[in-house]
Amino acid sequence: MAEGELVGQRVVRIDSRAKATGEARYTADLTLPRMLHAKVLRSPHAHARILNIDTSKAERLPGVKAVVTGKDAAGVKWGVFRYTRDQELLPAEKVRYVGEDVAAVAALDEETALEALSLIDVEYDVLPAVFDPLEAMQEGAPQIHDHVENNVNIHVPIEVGDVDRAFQEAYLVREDRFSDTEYTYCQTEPYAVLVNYDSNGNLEIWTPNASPHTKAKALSNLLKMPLAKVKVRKISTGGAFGGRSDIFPGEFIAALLAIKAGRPVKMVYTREESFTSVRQAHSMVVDLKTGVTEDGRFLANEMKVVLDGGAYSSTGPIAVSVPFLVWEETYRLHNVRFNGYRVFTNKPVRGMYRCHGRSFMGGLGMQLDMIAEELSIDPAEIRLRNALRTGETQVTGSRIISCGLTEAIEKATETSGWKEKRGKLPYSRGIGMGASGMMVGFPMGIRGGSAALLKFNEDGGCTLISGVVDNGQGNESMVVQIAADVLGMKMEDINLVSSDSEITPLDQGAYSQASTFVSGNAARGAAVDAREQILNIASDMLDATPGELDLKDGQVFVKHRPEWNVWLGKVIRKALLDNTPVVGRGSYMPKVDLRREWVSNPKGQHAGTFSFGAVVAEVEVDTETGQVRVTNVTGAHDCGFAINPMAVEGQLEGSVASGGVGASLLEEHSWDGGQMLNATMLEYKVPLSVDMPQITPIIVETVDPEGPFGAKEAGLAGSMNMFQAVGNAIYDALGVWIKEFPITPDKVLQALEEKDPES
Amino acid sequence: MRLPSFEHLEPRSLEEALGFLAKHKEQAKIIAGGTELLVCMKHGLLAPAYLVNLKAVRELDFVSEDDGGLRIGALTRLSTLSETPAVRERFPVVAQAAEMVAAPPLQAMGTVAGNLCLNTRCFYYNQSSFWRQARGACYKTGGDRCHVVKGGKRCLATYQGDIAPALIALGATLRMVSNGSEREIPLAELYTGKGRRPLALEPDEIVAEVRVPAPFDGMAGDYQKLRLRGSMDFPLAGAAAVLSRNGSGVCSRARVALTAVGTGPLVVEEATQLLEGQQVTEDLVAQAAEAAYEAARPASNVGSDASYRRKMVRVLTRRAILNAWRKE
Amino acid sequence: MERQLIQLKVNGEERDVVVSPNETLVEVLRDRLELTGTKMGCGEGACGTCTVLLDGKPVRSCLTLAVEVQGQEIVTIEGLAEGAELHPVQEAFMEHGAIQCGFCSPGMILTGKALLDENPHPTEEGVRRAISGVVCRCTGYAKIVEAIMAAADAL
Ligand SMILES: Cc1cc2nc3c(=O)[nH]c(=O)nc-3n(C[C@H](O)[C@H](O)[C@H](O)COP(=O)(O)OP(=O)(O)OC[C@H]3O[C@@H](n4cnc5c(N)ncnc54)[C@H](O)[C@@H]3O)c2cc1C
Ligand code: FES
Ligand code: FES
Repeated sequence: MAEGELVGQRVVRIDSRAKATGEARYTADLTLPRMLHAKVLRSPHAHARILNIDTSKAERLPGVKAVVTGKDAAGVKWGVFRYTRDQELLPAEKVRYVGEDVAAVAALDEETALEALSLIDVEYDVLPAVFDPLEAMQEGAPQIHDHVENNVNIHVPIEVGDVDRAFQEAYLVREDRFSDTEYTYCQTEPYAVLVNYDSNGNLEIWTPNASPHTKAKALSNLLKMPLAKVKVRKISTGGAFGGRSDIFPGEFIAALLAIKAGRPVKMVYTREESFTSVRQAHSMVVDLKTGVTEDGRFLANEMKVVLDGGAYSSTGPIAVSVPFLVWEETYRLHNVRFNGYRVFTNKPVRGMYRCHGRSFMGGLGMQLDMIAEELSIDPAEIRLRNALRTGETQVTGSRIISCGLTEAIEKATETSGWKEKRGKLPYSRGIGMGASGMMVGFPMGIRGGSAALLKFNEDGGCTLISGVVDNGQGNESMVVQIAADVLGMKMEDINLVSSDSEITPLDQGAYSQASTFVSGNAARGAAVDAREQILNIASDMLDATPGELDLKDGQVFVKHRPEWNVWLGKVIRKALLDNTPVVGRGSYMPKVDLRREWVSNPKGQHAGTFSFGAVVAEVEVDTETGQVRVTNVTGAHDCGFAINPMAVEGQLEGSVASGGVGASLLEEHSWDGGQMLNATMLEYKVPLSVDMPQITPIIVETVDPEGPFGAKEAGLAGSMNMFQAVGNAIYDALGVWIKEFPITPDKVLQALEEKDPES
Repeated sequence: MRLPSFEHLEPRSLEEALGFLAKHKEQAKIIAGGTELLVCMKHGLLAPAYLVNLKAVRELDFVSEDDGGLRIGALTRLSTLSETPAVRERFPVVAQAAEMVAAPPLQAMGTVAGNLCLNTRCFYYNQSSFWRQARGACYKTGGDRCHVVKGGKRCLATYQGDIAPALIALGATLRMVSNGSEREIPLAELYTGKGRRPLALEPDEIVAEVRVPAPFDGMAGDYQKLRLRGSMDFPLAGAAAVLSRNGSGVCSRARVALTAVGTGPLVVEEATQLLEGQQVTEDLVAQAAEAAYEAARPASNVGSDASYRRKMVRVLTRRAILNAWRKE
Repeated sequence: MERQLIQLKVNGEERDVVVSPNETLVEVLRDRLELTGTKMGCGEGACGTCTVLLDGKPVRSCLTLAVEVQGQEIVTIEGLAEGAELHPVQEAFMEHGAIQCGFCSPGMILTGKALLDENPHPTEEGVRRAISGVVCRCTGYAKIVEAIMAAADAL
């Protein structure tokens, strides 16, 4: 139970001072002695065979210290899963998207490196390319990978129950198609990497990342180096949102260059490169068929999604599965058929994103409202009827140990004035809602857990060593807050060492919403362990049983006689003399079914616990221009327990921006073939301060039995809810459904014109 | 992204600046706020050997009242322009437009002449050298084709400046000077509509000031801008209207100008004909807006859908006219 | 292209640097003066992470030439605190949770400071407008606006 004095407080984050003063270091800020600057030559073609690369002129340019091409990469391929190893991070034979890495130069300065790039001659044999996933699946479409027929990268089929019969029995069946275009992370920090390779064969890497261990493992495989020699160092990271977990060509290429030149190499991408040559979010086409009973309960559900995966697999199997997962994590499904396809196209590689799948999630939420309307049920009510509750088991077998979905829906409707507003606002103003459940952590095998160590110093202070990663979420602060609470210490008396693949234990990373639940649990375990050790040692000193003792503000004392006490530093010294130094140890592995596999076996417990949320959004539409303004958002989130409510609110507010305004209304990439037309911060429309609504965050606490102090996560459900809420609010305002995201003004206007051709 | 190399010239007077331009001609480029020019240079669209920096040419940095009209020095920052009482009070439409340019910090950097002299823009042009090299030169970069409209016969790059329409509607003129000569042209004549050379500005010429004639009796104006975000974005379409109402409630003068829907700012002559000498009614305004719609020729090269942007011209124009009319 | 010796007044200190005319202020601050608190998120004027104060006004250092700001007061994020004493806007950003990944924070904080110097009691709308040229991808701006408003009260 959450009894601590510190957890639950709005504490100032431990990382914020350095960030407020400009002292925090990000990758591009670093310099090392003898450091070189690298640049990458990229493919101007969407699909081409590389016939020849002549780097001789570049090599001769004064100041150039190393040049690498696919030949230096030895043809090794990478993929997150054993069965998705399809990406040569520096391809030797074929390029598959505009912006793909072809060669790289390290030189004394960036200008020289750029000049050298212009001296590299590449001969290409341009091949036909395909850019649309539905076309790519057709017979006769250009084949992007030799071993992949019809360009179907991953197919996840899931079927439970008797779907066809259930559809026949349904009172109402609806079929709709929802879709969206590509969009992207657009973290404010562009991609950068610094690699240092020393004569003892140690490889050090700094790069904005959500998981140093994942990057280290990939590099160790690719470079055939022992894991202990590959050291991904801690560095401040300017946002990740799912887009900094996988290994990228940049790290690999910088490593090749550093090894070849025998000098440190730094490579900083332009914004354009960050857009085209790291990761983007998937676009999807979603066919949704839903059968319900007369009172609006789900009877039969069918979904087919086609994801445009771009040129390589990346986290493909996860990406295809998420639409299904979020669905089953939110609602009580009985008979369900899912077919998820991730298809290769000649476009940049797509990965997992905080706002993954606006079309499926928005689609689910909008179709539910359509059904509710046909059955004359209030949208909040139909959600409540289908919402999962604590103790229930999802359709593929995950048990829910805590669930605040009902409470979140109720609180969001109550606070937002839903009853007074829904269907009652004047034309052009509307209100809508969205709800979702979210896995707290993916099954990631050995990489799914976290461990922490807590080492006490003779002055009574301590160092917490945790794998936890922070890309802005507040995770570092969270583990310290937890440990400090357990140990009765001030946060500033605990020093944190984190996210360094050499020093800190394995951790899943700031990925899949697992940090609080998994890393937080491990940190808590370490603190509890250290506390026990301390109390044990002190019990001799105070002549009391450990159970009679407490630890607070650097004193161990007898609970009923606080004047009987001993300074913590003394206890630590005694421990050292007794040869029992205080080192706390904690670890946590979420209780998932390790046999569950994304494609081959999608059943069994897939996350330790689930978080839930509901959002109500109000919009105002300019019916002449079609411009939609989100004016108010009430977001209720079951985060289990809010360790730092300020951080939870911050996550929700951030989700409203990226999910509710950005992904719902503004953000998309436009293309001409495989070429991205808007790879700039000016033309890729990230919401600005003036575009944001008033936000009322509501924290719902269910106190999860597994989570540290009952905490779960707070990062994702917000955006998932916003797509639905905005789509539904627009319907409430105008009476039109817009089924393609983002809902840009031209689409709104077109929908209005179709509804009323006279207008 | 790095800037290509150049020599930086820092004249202290207009005369000195003109001297530099006369000497280096095409090899030189004027830089004022630099907010547009430097981005183009980073993209490798321009690589002038000399940059003639006007920042220290103080004589170009002024706003003064003159015979009831306004003289705006070329170097006036957009933020200064919108904060100047004479502008705010007597020509509020100019302040209104300046406040909609980009975002506040860019208004504090960007100058009036820089804004008026914006290059035309296009998704196939405002890109890095790497990006453009993937598809070969277009009309605007000296090639023989248009990437926007395949088979197109001319460059469709869009003029997206925000303050030109308001100033054109006010009847502003430009004082342009070069070594030894000087001319004054109506602002609208600055724009050629040509891709390679969108401005009728000689290489050795400087826009020294903008002159706005005294307001007509009962004059008011309004500027409407379409953009996806509430800040930072260039207009996807923009309409300025300046109307005067005489004592008997009749519109005595009307000017409507558009931006971002063609290769230069467009003056909607027909709106003038429709409105002048008339009682302004909703119906008449709708006709004028229709005329603006007819005149607009947006291309699909600056974001959003071209046909949508064209429709918006109707809406923006109607709103601008009605607002201007109601303000008086 | 000739390199030239210039004097820049940064955070109250006179600094001599040899630069080429084509070096932007952000490059000189970061690469030559090691003031890496100023970030470069786009280099094209569209993100605001490179914001510094020039004679008290927030400007884009990625679109400013180093050679053209001689004699002007340049303040970067490193110059805001007085010793260990943070500026109230910095304090407020910490207290109100306005910093997540922190990459936008230097630009945001400086923009907030400049606003309050000019207008000690801005409206919420005024704050939103003032920071509308700086992109934050993490916070949704809510706590940033809150922090600047709170700093205004504190000042
Ligand atoms: C992110 C971003 C968003 C923007 N959004 C907008 C917007 O919404 N609306 C808008 O209108 N603009 C926008 N701009 C463009 C620009 O910031 C402004 O138009 C600004 O006013 C340009 O002025 P400047 O002084 O910075 O021009 P500069 O970049 O210095 O110059 C621009 C051009 O004008 C020429 N020039 C400058 N002064 C003179 C002179 N006196 N005589 C002759 N030629 C001259 C230069 O040679 C150059 O070709 C945006 C820019 C950015 C980076
Ligand atoms: S780096 Fe200067 S505005 Fe983005
Ligand atoms: S805190 Fe991450 S961009 Fe603002």
